[in-house]
Amino acid sequence: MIADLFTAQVIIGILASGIRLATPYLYASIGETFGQRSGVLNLGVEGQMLLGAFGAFFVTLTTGNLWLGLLAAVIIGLVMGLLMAFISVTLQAQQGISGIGVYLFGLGLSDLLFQKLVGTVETVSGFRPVHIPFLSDIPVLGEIFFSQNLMVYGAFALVPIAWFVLNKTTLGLKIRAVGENPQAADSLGVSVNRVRYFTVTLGGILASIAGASLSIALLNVFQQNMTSGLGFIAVALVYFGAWRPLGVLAGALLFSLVNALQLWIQVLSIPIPPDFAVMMPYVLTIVALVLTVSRVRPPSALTKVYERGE
Amino acid sequence: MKHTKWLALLILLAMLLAACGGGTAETEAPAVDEPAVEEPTGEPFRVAVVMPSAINDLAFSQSMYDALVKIQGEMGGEANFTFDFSEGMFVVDDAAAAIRDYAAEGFDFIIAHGSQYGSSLQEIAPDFPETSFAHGTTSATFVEEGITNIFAYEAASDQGGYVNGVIAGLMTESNVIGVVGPIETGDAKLYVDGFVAGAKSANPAAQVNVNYIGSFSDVALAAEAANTHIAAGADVLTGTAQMVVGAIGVAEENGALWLGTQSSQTSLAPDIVVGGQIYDWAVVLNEMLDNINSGTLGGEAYLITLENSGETIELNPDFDLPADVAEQVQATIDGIIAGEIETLAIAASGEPFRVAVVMPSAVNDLAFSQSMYDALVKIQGEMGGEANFTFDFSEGMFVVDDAAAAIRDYAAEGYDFIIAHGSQYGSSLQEIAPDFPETSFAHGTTSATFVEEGITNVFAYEAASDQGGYVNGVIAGLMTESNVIGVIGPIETGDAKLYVDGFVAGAEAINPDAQVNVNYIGSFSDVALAAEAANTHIAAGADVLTGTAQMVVGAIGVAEENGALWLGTQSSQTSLAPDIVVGGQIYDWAVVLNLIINNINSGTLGGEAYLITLENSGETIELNPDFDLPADVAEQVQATIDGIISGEIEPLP
Amino acid sequence: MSETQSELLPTGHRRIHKMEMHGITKRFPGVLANDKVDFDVSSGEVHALLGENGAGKSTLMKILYGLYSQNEGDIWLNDEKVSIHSPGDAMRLGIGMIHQHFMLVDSLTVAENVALGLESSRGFLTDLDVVSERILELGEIYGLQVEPDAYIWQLSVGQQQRVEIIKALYRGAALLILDEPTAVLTPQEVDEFFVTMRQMVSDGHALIFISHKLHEVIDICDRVTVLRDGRVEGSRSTKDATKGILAEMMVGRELGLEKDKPDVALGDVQLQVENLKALSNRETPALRGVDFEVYSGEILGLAGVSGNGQRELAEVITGLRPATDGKVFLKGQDVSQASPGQIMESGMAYIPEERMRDGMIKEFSVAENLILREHHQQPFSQSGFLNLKTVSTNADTLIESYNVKTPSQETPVKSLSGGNIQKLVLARELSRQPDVLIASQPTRGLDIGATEYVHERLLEQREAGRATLLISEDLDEIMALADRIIVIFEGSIMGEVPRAEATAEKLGLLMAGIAEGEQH
Repeated sequence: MIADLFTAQVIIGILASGIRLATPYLYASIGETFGQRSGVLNLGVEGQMLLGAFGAFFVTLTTGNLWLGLLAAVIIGLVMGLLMAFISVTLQAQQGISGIGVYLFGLGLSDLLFQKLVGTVETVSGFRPVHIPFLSDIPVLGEIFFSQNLMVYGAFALVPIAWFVLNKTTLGLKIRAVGENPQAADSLGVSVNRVRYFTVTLGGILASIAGASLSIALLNVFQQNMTSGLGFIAVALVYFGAWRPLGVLAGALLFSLVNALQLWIQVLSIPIPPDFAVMMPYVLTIVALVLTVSRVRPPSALTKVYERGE
Repeated sequence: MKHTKWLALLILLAMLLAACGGGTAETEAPAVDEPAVEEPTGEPFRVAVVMPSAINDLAFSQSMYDALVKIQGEMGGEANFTFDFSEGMFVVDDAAAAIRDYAAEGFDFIIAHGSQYGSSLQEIAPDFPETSFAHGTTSATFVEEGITNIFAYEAASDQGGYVNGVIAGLMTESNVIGVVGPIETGDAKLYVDGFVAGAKSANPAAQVNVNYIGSFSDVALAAEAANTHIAAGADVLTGTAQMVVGAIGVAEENGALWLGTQSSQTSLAPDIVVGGQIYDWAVVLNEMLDNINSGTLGGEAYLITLENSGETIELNPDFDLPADVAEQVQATIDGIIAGEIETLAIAASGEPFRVAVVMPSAVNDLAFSQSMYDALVKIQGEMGGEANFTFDFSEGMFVVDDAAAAIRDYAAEGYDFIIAHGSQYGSSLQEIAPDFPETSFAHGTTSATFVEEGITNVFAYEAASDQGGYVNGVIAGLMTESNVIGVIGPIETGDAKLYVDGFVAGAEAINPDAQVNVNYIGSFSDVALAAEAANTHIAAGADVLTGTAQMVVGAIGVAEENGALWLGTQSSQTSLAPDIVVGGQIYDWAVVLNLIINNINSGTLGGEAYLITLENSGETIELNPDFDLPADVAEQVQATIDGIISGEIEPLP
Repeated sequence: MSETQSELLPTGHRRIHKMEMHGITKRFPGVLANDKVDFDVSSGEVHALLGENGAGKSTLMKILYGLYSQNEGDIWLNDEKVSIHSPGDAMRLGIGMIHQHFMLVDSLTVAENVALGLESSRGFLTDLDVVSERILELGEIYGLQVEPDAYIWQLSVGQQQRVEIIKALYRGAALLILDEPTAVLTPQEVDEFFVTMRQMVSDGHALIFISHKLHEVIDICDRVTVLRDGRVEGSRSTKDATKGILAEMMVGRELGLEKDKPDVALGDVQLQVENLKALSNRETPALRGVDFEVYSGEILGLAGVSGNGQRELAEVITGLRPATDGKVFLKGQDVSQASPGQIMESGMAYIPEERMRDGMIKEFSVAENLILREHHQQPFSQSGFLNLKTVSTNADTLIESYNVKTPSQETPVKSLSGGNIQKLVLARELSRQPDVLIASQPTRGLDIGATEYVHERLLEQREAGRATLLISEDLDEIMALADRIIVIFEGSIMGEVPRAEATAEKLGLLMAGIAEGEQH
């Protein structure tokens, strides 16, 4: 039974599933990484995802234009990100609570808008797989890695970009400094609030795009609360990834691949009760977290509001 | 050891029965099978009846008298069956004296024909433990007070009332109908409520004016009430209880039509009496007599209905009823007998019946929540719209604590009936329901009504989803070419497990070569994971998929993309992917909701568990008309459905 | 105006010939922090700014550095009126500040810290290699050697200070504000730092030096301005200043700077520590086998640079932190396993390092804080009920006898000054007449007046024949009070020096981890 897992068909299946499942996590977690590296914990990711998912879906449904749908997600993410930034940076609200507030707002509003504007479950025609010339012809690997839709490529492209921005640019330097020691950054003329506004808004946009990746690329439907806790897992993956884009990638892939694996375990009738199978991604991720996380330290100023002067 | 224990139990049981049987225990066994007619005793069976009005009142009392005459005939005349009666006993104390006299004289069976005599019977019956009593119309047998020798009987007068209402609705030209009743209670209220419901259903434009005059005997006032109705424009009238004879006269004078109840009133005014409901108490009296002969002297409550022929609809042969109306009448009778028509849909108070629903997902989830929402919309339509039936809902209550708060709020706001649409809400209901004893609750899918915990106001409902699952499985088994079928479920429990198990059974029964892969994803809401599960099935070679619960919408998209077929359940999912959805099982909770609402209207707020099945039409199989299903498959589907309904096929043996 | 060679500093930036602050007034709600303050500094001089805590020095410097804006008054640079609204403005004008608490990001490298907030020569990409090169250049000129690729957390405090100075110089600081720069340094590091300062002055920088240490002010500074209660108390050349004069200007009265210490006969060993080992919060060894004893009638001074195990030692002795090995004897009794409460009741008192965090509950009132230790005992409570009357009488007595300045005994302690809070801690701890007192950094952050008060109280303990362990990073304080001095370095005692033989040099070497045998 277990041996069935090691056939090419199953392994390809797991990899392909894992990559698709990881896509929304990557957008949301990378966005959250920026925010947390600058010291802001945004627990509202789930709400931002839902609104982004709805906005992209609705605009695509009404205009038939996917790019307008994606643009709608970006604009919604911008507004929601600014909202979170305003609450947590300008108003200096307790970040955990304000994030929950943004989540509930997004959950409720996406539901309401869906009721009023769409009404029932409908489908749109989403982003189609794009076969990358030559690469997609590679046997096995081509099918897994180079025959996905644009938003999947985008999610994976985001990882090196985020790494580069954080580590190789002046902006990244400011973000890291603001998250570790805002006083020091401020004393060097770096505007702590401006940096945090930027990262939180960027996080909002990426969370919104994460939602859009579900509603107009991977699933092509919208349903209330369709993210189903995915946004919170995305936040956990940032901790798992030790606030580094590559770590986040590892976490997202681990979680998604194990999730894909447990789907196959059930399909292949491997005698593990489904209840245990569905726990596997969570259990394994927690185990991995316990084994790795004690070595790393979160950004020192994470969740701390910054006020000038002592 | 075991045997001795059972033996002891049996002996105890026998002794108990002997005690109940009042010394006739030894003849118990033969008596059960022997029809009453052939009772081989030399003495005739002696019955006495106390009636509130005259035996020829063309109404309540007459209906009983006629029944006794009929039984006497059936039993071979006075040699075997005699009866005495006291009529016009509108003074309850007089009636009580008469009852006691009859009992003392050794009558076998004494009928107190009026619910007002109940308290007298309660006093008298224990003094004559070997005499059987009955009274009606009521359902109170006083068994709970320890009295075992009183039967109760009543009429589902709402059924005939409903039919009468349909006739009235169809015949009225002025669209105004008048009703004259005695007191708003018991049989009269049932009749009037059924009548109003029937009239509204046949003719939503009709206005039905109801007038309770406060008396069973004031003929003059009844006549005046009829006059008032006619002045208000009514051209069809009805009325119940013995005082309506005056009203019939007024109708005749004014050329208004009349619909009778209880006894045939045609003779009074053959020109204007269209017909009416007639009680035949013989149906229940026969059952009581059987019981008495077998030693059971009371404790049972009987109901005459259209179905058991205790009620019949008599149409005046001299009245020229249009053929289409006659047809409609017959259809209504058939509908009521089949349970398709709900005769007490309208709360008579004039206030709408208020329902609140708490649902775990959205009302448009194309699945579980939607099936309930659709049912409520349907019932609202049947009941004549918002004036009579309103409902509110809280959707997306996947957090049980939130749902509990919502349920409590609804109860506190005075809703008549609150549905917690999800078995996960059960423990919340268990806490909340006792705090609101006058509110009725329901939850599902489950069979737990918590009656054993002493809670009497919770109904339970569930779906035999294995039946539809089995049919879906048969379709899948026939349609698959790869012989691999994929199933996506939420959590392996309840409705989902039943459906999945039924599906697997159906697929494997019709196609032993088919491999059915089942995948429970552990969530009711994770659309992305459901989609990925579908991808996994397809990668594993599946070309037909199914899934249950609201998160499957993502999976349907994947099926469509990959050209795999889909079988739905709970709600219609055809609209999502018309090319690949073959069809599916659809829940119609209206079937059980109607039963529950009926119960609530008659004062029972809980304690019953209901099941929707293919047989009671709570489940139907919808096939996508745009999908080109091979004829032989369609035939096989029908055969499967028929087999399940007839019990030949057991989806989950 | 053409830029002549003399206009430029060796860093390539323009000099600030003269900076003047005229009539600076800054009001906070209820407080006049600066009242028409005039202050100036010129290229090539060190101007000291002296004053007690709350005298208005920090406010004045924060105004100069753009962290606060003044209500009245002007700032002039090279005879031009300027307005400074942010540290960015200040830096553009050539004003830099070395904060008392370093403004460095631990998880970044030296070069990244320096580059932070600067325009990069590569646009939005960082140019750390360019920055590193320049750091090495500056280090060469001013004797500030640091490794550009090292992370801040890898550096010693002295090295971190160098990074701070390089950061300021890199940004073209011609005027540097040095806020208590020597407080965290060993005497040797102070000497090196003074070399750097002199180099900067001779190159034409203008320096403002804020310090409590009067001898340093006299050593290194050219002029000194004393602030008291937000006003300029006086300004004079250091040539004709003595410590006594300066201290009097600060406090407004004469102070006995040199303590008279009557001889006290040593008694029994009251506190003994044997081979004590403990872990830090990060689970690394903090104490690596510490031995010492304290006799009644003496003050044992524990010197050392911050973070060498002092905090852990105090916590282990008072029972707040478990020892991994070794024993603590209080009056001959082993208390290594005892709870803090038991230890306190056996006659130990503790003045914690973080008086606001560990010593007081800042939201509680003065009266409540004064009975924190004994609230559950007679006479403050009976059968679980507080006896509010004795609580109140107790507060009145202690406020009076310890000279605590508080509006009332109901005032929450968070609204008192540091000195008054420390007086409350002393009042609470010493009024119990303990046999052993652990005083951890008892004067850190206190002004001269309050420091003097604390010192007097500690000496009183000594005279009363009690044993005191004084843990301090302030060498002057240790040398003024202690009878014997032990020095801790990385969790080990480097050596013991009797007061009579102690010099700053000797102690400084021990504090740097160089044992006596290795000294030359």
